[in-house]
Amino acid sequence: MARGQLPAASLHVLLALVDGEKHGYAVMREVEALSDGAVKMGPGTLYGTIKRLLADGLIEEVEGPATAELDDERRRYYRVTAGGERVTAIEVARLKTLVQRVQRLRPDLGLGLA
Amino acid sequence: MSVSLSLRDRSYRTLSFLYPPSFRREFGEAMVQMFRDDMHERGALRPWSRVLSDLVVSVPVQQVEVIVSKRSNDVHVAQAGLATAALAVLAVVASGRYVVVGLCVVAVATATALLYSRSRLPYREAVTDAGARWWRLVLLGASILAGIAVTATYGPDVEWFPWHLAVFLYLGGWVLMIVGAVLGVLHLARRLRRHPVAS
Repeated sequence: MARGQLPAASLHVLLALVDGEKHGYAVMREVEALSDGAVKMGPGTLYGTIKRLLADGLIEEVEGPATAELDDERRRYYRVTAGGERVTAIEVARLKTLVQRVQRLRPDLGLGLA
Repeated sequence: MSVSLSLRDRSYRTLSFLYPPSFRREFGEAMVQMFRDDMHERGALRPWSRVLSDLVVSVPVQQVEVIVSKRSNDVHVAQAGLATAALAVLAVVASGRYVVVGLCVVAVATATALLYSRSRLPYREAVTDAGARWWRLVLLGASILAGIAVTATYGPDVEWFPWHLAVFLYLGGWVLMIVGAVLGVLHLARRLRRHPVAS
């Protein structure tokens, strides 16, 4: 299980997977969408992150959908584990608290949460 | 699949050989597929630009990670400890600079062979809790220091003494022991936290 603060890349991958299983390319696109294009992951970085998340038990590999195309044989599908969901929730709450504190210190920065 | 796409696949597959073998075996095909998907959706330029910048960052990270986290078996560690201790003894006993240089070459070759043999382990076996191996570092450091102590006590009195190598090995031995001890404390603390002793 991961301890302490999650690396940014790991958090982005977990967030990309919270709404269901995805393969690597879909995760990459989702991470880009979530971060408005600020976080771009190549194959090496993405699978390096996936390797660590698998080792920490935060995600797990699953079978692809039954309707998979021929190319899908090479794709690997992943989903968040229960532990991964807990860690994601804790990390998001930590970031939310951080933003709230900064907002109290500097309201002029416009960090108001919806 | 078009010829050009196949050529791109092969090009990327060739570049992926820069990653450690265990990482490539585990994720190589999925990475090629991801690259193909990217090519299919965004054309050639952006995926290549992304892949090249990604290689610069991720290849060193994966190589270092494999070296640091590989699980070696007890025989490998015992061999490394004995070989290093023997080298320490021989280096101190040696009376010529050529011998010391030769020993350094042997040491580097031994370390390279050990790292290579470790890199052949499958990924699943390689990913283990590094803290659980703390005692091996302590053992390795103690072997080095013991080798130096034995040589200093019983070795011949020579004119030219390889001080640099001896000091390097001496400091290295202490560093290994201290790092091992710190990892051991952290590992035991983690185990106690996971499985508290019943009061």
